[in-house]
Amino acid sequence: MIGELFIIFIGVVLVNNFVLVRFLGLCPYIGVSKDLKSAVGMGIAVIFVMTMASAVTWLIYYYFLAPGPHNVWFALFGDGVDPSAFDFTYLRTITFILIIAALVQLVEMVIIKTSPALYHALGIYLPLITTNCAVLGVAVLNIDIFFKGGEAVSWSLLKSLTQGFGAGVGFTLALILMASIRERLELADIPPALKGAPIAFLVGALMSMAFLGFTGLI
Amino acid sequence: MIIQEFTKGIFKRNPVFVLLLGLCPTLAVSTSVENAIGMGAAATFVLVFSNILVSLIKNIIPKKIRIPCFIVVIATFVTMVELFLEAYLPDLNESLGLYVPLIVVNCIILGRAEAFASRNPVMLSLADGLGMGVGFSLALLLLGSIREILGSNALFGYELIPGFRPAMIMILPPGAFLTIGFLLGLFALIRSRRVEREEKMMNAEIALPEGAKE
Amino acid sequence: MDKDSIIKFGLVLMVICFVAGTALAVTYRMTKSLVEEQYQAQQLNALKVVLPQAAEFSERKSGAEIDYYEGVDKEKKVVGYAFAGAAKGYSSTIKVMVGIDPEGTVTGIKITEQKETPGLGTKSVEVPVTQTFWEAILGRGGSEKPGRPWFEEQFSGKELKNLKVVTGKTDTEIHALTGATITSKAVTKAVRESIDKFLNQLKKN
Repeated sequence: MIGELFIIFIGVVLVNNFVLVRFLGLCPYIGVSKDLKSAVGMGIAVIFVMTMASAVTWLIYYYFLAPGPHNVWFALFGDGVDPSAFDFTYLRTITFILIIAALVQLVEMVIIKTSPALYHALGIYLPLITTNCAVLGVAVLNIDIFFKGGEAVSWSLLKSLTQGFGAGVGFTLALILMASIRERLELADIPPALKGAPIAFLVGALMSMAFLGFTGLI
Repeated sequence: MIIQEFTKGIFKRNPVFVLLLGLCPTLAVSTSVENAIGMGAAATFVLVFSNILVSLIKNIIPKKIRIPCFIVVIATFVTMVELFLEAYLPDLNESLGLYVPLIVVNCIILGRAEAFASRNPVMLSLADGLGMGVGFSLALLLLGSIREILGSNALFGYELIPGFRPAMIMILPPGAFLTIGFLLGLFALIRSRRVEREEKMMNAEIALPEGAKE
Repeated sequence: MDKDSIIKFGLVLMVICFVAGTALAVTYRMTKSLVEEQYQAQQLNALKVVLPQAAEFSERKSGAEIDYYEGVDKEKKVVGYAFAGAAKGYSSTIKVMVGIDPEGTVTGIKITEQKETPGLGTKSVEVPVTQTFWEAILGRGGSEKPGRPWFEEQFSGKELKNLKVVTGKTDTEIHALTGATITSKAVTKAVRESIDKFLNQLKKN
């Protein structure tokens, strides 16, 4: 079991890196990678939100949206009705995006109350995370992979958590690598037309090529 | 006026190349022209209808909760696209996969709802949405054709030049980064050339009367 | 924020969510039967491809190890069996439909689901195009009958012992796709294992 989780983790950090292979979360990857300090701040915030979002969306999907005997609506109103009639999977996208938006708000409020110092460090990145497609991406991907025909596969919640956490770590890894390279690029002599976003993408191409080398790992 | 709102999305304020929005789907699904067209059409549908609806209900919605309301509107249209694709074009749905639900977080759509449709009448919002959608689709198409031509020596799946060995890297993820990087560089170059030329002309105009005085 | 506005905001949001939910429920009801029809048509198509010798197919029958379909000819004689297999490929789980004749020789396979790397692993389901782009525009060349992916095609007529992937030229075994050895091996593994399971099950009965 531990081995399986480890494979999921390595898979999502290195082999199918969210930024470099799946192209998720590119906006912050280009926008917040100008210096190392903000890259670390953004990375930690994303890891936190992604892990939380993976858990919450999984629970909501399992108990409220997916058809089956575990569905809450079935338990409440399903007297003498086939459980497969309670199929609300088509509300997945709309539910998930609202959950993520609410979650980000909640995290922001909690951090303000408990640790102003942490808020100072992460605060400006939190609102950006709602529209970070990597968060919704990992939530949808969890459902795609760890549910088979409405039924959860074994250890499904734990696998989703691992994938959420791993995706956040992978995102942070790519972001930190990129920020370190861009800090050095500031001093390099590059053609003026390539300054800024273009060179960031070209560096991304090289990094993505390097990450292709992890292909055979799992 | 309406035409202006339409064309600005295509060139001057192209969402991908100028505003750098909606990059994730642009890079991810531009492996072939077919995927690019499918994604462009899906995003345009959502853009147009969410812009229209947001413009219609802009006066009913309280200012403070407008963003969640917009998100609900957008998510509804995205899910409709998802259901339609599943029913009518299952193959395309398969190859776009994860990126169909992710249209929800495509910054272009929420951005246009907030910056344009919530302040403008319906017809203008429609034109704006359509223009942005077409601009996005054209960017996808450009990227998709470059990658398909170089990466698989084909267009729409048909072989282009018999005997030419394509560079496989172009359809793999690094190829997407390379293509967009060089395209952005190219556009920046063109823009700086134009600015230079305009400056030269300005200088010439300023220099002329001064020279005439002496 | 005062209490009144919180209640008002909540109400507005609820109304919007309710309308959105209703609209989606209607769309879902509209498209649901279509999606199922598509799925059925795909299954039938896959059966026809993997068991070309059969005229009709049975309903899905459940077995101890693997579910299967029976293909019968016009005289209602069983001419083959079809069943599904799956294996982990490079970036996705690859699902295949496999058809064998009563002797155990493969009559055809079809990859029913895969999300492999575009341009590499997806070559496994790509139909070879004989027309070039220019010919297609001018409407010249090309055959009318849509072909079948050569990778799937090479499984037809092979016996279980020959289902092995090799990278060089081969007539007796399975020739790997260039740049997609993992995908090739996964497809072959899915085919081999499902046949193994089915034959075991057949022996026991």
